[in-house]
Amino acid sequence: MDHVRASNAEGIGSPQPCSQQAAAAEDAITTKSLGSRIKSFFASGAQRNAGKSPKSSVAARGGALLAGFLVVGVAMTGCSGNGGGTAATGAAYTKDTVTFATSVVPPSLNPAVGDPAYAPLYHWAYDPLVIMNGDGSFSPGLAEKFGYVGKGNQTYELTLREGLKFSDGAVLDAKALKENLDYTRSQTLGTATTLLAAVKNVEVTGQLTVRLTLSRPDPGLTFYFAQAFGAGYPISPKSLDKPATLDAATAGAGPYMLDPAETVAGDHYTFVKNPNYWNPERQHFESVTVRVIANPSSTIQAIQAGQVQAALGDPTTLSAARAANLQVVAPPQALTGINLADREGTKSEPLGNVKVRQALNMAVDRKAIAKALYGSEDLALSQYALEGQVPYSEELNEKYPYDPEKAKALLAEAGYPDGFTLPVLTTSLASLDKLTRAVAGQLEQVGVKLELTTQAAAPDYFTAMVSGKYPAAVIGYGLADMNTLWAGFVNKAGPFNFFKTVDPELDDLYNQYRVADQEAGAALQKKINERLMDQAWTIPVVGAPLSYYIAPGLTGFDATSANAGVPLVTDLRPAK
Amino acid sequence: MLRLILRRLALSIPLALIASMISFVLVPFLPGDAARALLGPNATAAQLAAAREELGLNLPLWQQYWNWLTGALQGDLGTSLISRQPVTELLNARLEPSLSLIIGATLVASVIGIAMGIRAARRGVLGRVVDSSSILALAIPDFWLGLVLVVIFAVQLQLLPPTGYVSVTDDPGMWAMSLVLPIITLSLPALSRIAKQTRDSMATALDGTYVRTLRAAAVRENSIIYRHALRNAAVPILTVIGLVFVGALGGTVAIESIFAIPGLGSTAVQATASRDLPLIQGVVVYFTLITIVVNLVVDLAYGYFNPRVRVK
Repeated sequence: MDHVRASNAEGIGSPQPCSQQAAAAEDAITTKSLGSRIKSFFASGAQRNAGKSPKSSVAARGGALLAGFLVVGVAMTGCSGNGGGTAATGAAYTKDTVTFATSVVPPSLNPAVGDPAYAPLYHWAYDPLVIMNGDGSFSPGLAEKFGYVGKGNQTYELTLREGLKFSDGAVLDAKALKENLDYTRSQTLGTATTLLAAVKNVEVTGQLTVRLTLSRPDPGLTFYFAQAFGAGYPISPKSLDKPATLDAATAGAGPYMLDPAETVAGDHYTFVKNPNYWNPERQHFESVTVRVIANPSSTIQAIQAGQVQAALGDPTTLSAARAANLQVVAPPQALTGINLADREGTKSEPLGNVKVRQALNMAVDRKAIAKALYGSEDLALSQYALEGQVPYSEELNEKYPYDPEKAKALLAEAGYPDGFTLPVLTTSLASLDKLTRAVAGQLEQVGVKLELTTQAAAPDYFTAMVSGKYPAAVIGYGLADMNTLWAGFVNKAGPFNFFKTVDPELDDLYNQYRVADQEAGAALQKKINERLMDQAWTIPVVGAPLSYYIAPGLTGFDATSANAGVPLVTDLRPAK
Repeated sequence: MLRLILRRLALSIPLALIASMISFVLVPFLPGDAARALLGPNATAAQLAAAREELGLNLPLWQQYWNWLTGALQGDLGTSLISRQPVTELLNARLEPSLSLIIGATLVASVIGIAMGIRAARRGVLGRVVDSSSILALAIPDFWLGLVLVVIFAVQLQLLPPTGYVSVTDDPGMWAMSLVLPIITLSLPALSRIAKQTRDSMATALDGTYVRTLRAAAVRENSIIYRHALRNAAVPILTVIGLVFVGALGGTVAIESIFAIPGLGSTAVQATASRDLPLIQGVVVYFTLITIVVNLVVDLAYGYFNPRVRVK
């Protein structure tokens, strides 16, 4: 094993102190008397009306109530600094149960046929093999050792910890792991199948060790096995024999297991301690409930009321969450911008000219858009990697500075002094339509008019995108490294390369990167980033955050751009 | 009476059939399909093709419908393409929250709406207040009202839970608590419609010559209003209550989202977004049956209040 990253660290989720220590969110329904709550509410209304002389007591009460409505209406939209509720000072969270809210849950609890978007649900019952930390380094998860063997990134080994057991009592050893990897690779549904597509063979080479032989070089396996993707979350072999049972039950080697009697699919999922878990210190609660709350504003209100303690956030409610005094962990995670996909000029002749694509990059004021949409200029993005990620390069931020005059000159040089009209597909998913409209407004300043078509639902947007009808489309693509960027964006079979652009120079760089060791690979990733910038494949605009909200008194989410914004959710624990 | 019920139930079969056929024919016009929804954006063409084969999406539409229909006629509404759970099982679990919400909202709206309407029909200041508040209630968007109520009663006063639903069989007390805010939100616009209809119907009824006769005979005012005028005004009010109930089926979509209630409305939205045809069909059948039952109950109530309808 050449560069296996072995570690004697305690492993999963070594506590990362959170900078935001805060107070407990006690369930105030039980801690405050009804009278005092009503009194304090109307007292606050009276304070708001202080100095006025109501004509009558009825009018005064009506006025206070109306004022209350208006004030809370404003607070709800995040324009007020007063979140009210339970976000007060106090001790750490002391209850032995915790509730996590998410807006999305998988149709099946079987992680082998699932999607990384559902990680906040899977993590409670399924530990990943590897942990990716906030600084981008890897730590042992269920696998104690992991990494490529020899040169060329075509052989990979995983060695499990000793004494691991699944929640149903079955032993997790190399044989069980091989069964799992083979099962995952054989599925037709699920992201893990795609991630492990290069794996040709899995061989048991020891009691706790498996060796994966790849049909082609793939430098991304360690990342795929970490919590963001979780390819190969080990599942008990007893359940793999009857996989239908995994749809509504769990059989993992994580700290908890589903209690089906206390679960209503699509509404709430209750997890209780896994008695066979290898590290009881990581079982911070007696039980955990994952609740489904589709409405982002309702999520914040549920945390304020003490009903929920942590949640998957939403870009539209970041300001409101901060205003409500919640802890907000929101690392930039996705490239959002306009994908200039028709790089041969098939549907839109101007896009076939690289100078035009470069000019469009100079015509967008990214900082202004980031500030307007997410309240922070720091989220402006002008390349294909985020700060903290391996391919990131500070210099590339200056490659296309905001300069409308230069953009106009470049357009004139390319033969479009009066600009042109560009049909663009957009979607209201994750507020991407707002971003598109903001870009459209700025491009209009240099004479380029965007003709927008909006598709609201995800399937409609993807279908319209891959139809090839639109030369450009809004894009939201999770950034991690150049390997994951290949899968959906650079690869000519990828859905976001919907005009199937092939760039021989880029392909050559990728071929070198795939077989390179870690150090050489890092340099090559930067070169790929540079090449994509040279060719101006998109207009990157904002690094959209993946966010988590945590009630005061709790901590534990180590999410940064370096680990793709995905913490190990089971690290949630009371703040000390 | 029995004949009326049987005739209505017999009529419901072609109605449910037509409704299911229409939704089956319309859904494929939407772009995308369940395979795309399941596999996400990064799926390759080969993976999509394999998933379509597995899900039976490659079959001609008529064959998919026939397969569904033969199952439905035997009480089997098929299996969800996304969750792979039986549709009947899935929808039965969501029936209780939705019915609790809709029946609760209709009851609240009816009781308060009729009381307000009767009071308003007697004119005076209160009549004008009811009139203007009806318009105001109709103008308030339910999603906004829901969020505001949560801020006041759940976040600020912490009297009621902000989200969620507790089954009546698990904890009747919490069941009631969890429904208070959603029911208020859903019932407000319905309440104003019922109040307005009651006011108009009662005003007409109270202008009737028989009322003058009753008053001349020194019959007590309450008796005139509740035993005579209201009975005569009941038919249009019942019609509105029936419409309110059916309308609330659609209203649950927003309310269930705001209050995170796992009901039929939110299921309909999810099923449509993921192109889960069997589940969409199931929701259509459930909604159709609920509508038929409500109309039947309203028809029977017409007969109770108005003997002429019974004769017909």
